[in-house]
Amino acid sequence: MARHKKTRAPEEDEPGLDISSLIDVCFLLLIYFLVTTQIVKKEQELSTALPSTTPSETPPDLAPMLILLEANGNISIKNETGVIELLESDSEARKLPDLLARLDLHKSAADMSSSKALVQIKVDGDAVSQRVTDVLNALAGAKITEITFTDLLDPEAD
Amino acid sequence: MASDRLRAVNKEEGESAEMDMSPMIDMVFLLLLFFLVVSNPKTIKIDPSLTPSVAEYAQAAKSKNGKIVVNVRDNGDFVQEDTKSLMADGAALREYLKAEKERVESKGNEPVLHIRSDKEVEFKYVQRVIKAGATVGLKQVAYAAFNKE
Repeated sequence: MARHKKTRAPEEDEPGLDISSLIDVCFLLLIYFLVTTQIVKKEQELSTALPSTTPSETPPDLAPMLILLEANGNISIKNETGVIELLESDSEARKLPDLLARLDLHKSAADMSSSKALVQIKVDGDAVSQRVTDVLNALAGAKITEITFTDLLDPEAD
Repeated sequence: MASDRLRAVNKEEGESAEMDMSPMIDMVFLLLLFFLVVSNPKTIKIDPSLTPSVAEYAQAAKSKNGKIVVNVRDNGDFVQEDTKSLMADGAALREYLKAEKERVESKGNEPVLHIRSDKEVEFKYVQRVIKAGATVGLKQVAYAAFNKE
């Protein structure tokens, strides 16, 4: 009996780390962050090449498409014959299917002639930023990045 | 008698089954150090007083380095990335963009003009920012937008 006690004694004296308090703190921190975290909508971006303020000396192979945006949100294009054609008139609509279809055609034509698809945008200064973003969104949808704002040369824009 | 013996055996087994937590803690600290070293904490400060436009085809930025942020609020105010410094006119805007461009280029990054404009602001104010960027020689511009309403 006495011999048995002697063999068990060293095992009981082994030092052990009590991690229950660590787990308690971890759960407390987890609950704190779950309660206090505010989920913020992640911002994305539409990237374009910034237009040059000086006109190019060499004309492009394919004539750039001109998009006109009025203050009331109407979107028109100047077609090949020089006629202004109204494409989108609902300023609340975020998707612009008619414009996107024309941009796709323009992009295809540029790809076939191995040149860059250029687009010029003439925006009325009173148009809201969301409407311009709608046009830029359609351009991004058509994978066109070479964009020029024609009003940049307007001295009153400064 | 037999049940007493069984209980004694179970008791001994229960006492001996202990998990050694030290390797797990070592691994956790190693992972923590790894992510601390390799993570890039650069983020763009968000001006909460404006709501960017919505664009379905907007994409996540390829790189967060080199961004020169200009906030355009709904009343036409131009504010720097710190969301506090107001730029009164086009000259102040150009001065800020020029200084930021030089700072970004000195770090070996490609400068990108990052415009955060309120969706309701008139575009003439955004045009001013674009023109100021073109004047100081910025070649890339990015418009902040949400993917969904």
